Amino acid sequence: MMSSIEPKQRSLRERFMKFVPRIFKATIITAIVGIILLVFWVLLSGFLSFYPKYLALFAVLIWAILFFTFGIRVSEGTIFKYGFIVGRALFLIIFFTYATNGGILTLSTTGFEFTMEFIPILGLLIVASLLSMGQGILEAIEFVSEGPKD
Amino acid sequence: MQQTIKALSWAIGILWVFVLVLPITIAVSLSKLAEPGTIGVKQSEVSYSNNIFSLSSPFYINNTGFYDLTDINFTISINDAFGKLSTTSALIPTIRAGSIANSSFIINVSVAKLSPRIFALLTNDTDLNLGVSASFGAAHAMTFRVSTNFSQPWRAPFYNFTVLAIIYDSASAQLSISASFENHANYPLNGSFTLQAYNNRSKRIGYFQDEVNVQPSSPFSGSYEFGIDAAELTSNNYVGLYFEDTEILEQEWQP
Repeated sequence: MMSSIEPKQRSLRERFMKFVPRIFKATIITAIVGIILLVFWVLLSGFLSFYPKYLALFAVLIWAILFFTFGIRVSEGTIFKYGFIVGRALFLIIFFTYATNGGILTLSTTGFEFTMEFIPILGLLIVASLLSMGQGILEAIEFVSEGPKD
Repeated sequence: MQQTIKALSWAIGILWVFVLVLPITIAVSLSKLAEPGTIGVKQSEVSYSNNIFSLSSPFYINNTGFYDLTDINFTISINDAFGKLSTTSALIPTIRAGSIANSSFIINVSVAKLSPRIFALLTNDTDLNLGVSASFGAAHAMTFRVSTNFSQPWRAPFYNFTVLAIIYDSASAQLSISASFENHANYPLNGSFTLQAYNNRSKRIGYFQDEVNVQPSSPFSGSYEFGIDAAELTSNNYVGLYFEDTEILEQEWQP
């Protein structure tokens, strides 16, 4: 009984040990990205504190970027990496369309209203994200056609 | 497949650089408009003719940025306590980068028909509510709209217009009227001051005209005497006081 479990446990341990450097590498890269985003957070939070809604959305964007960065790095060499790439592109399309109210931002205070319309720029951002999705799908197809590495 | 993926990578990279750099360069370009002397208002001109008060405010925009400005639209609406008085717009289709555009706001307020609203404006200082909105496009990629409201003090040109006395001398068929006001406006009142007497059938029975020149912040007081067609007098008669064909006040009098 013991002899049949031991190889299986060894196999799981080996697999885990194989993932440890990858997790470590992904954590380091995510931390670096996190530090860069933290700088942006510090720079923008002073201004965005007047608009708590946008501060919350910015926090969502930061956490999502960190999540996808970690996910992509940790799933390097697997089909899941491309799932994360496509998911990130899809998230960015939905996030920016929602957060920018379709490319029309309005800030208003008493007796003053400022509206900024940047639909063409949002359009470019969506096109870039769609191309990222396409690239991710093509890379996934290529990855599958080459055969599994893991 | 590899070639396609590489081409896509390049396209995505270029698009992201474009998406990130374009708003920054637009912001830098627009910040140049905030420098002194890039936007200015020239000397305003106030005129009054054919019962229309006209205010012309020329302005210029020097586009020192590196993107064209398009569809520039400035709108000013003037409101008093009763609602909208006048609206003016200035449209500039395009200001190319590095060029200057001139335009002007022209505000016309018709005062032909004396209404309690116009009379109140002509004879009382008040606060007018100005709604200002501006919109423009930059680099054909972004559009900005700003709108704000603020109050502006209005100085009445016929402040406290008062008819001090209307006296009819039946022996000489002369009507004497004395009136006073103070010019609170920041422009001189220079024009004809007319008095017209009517009977209750709206037939003109007397007329007098004088030239007045009242400087800003100066009081005016005048007494006038003119003949009346005594045969046309009715039980109730009216006298209208006009400045440049605009009726300031109409008052009833009995012989």
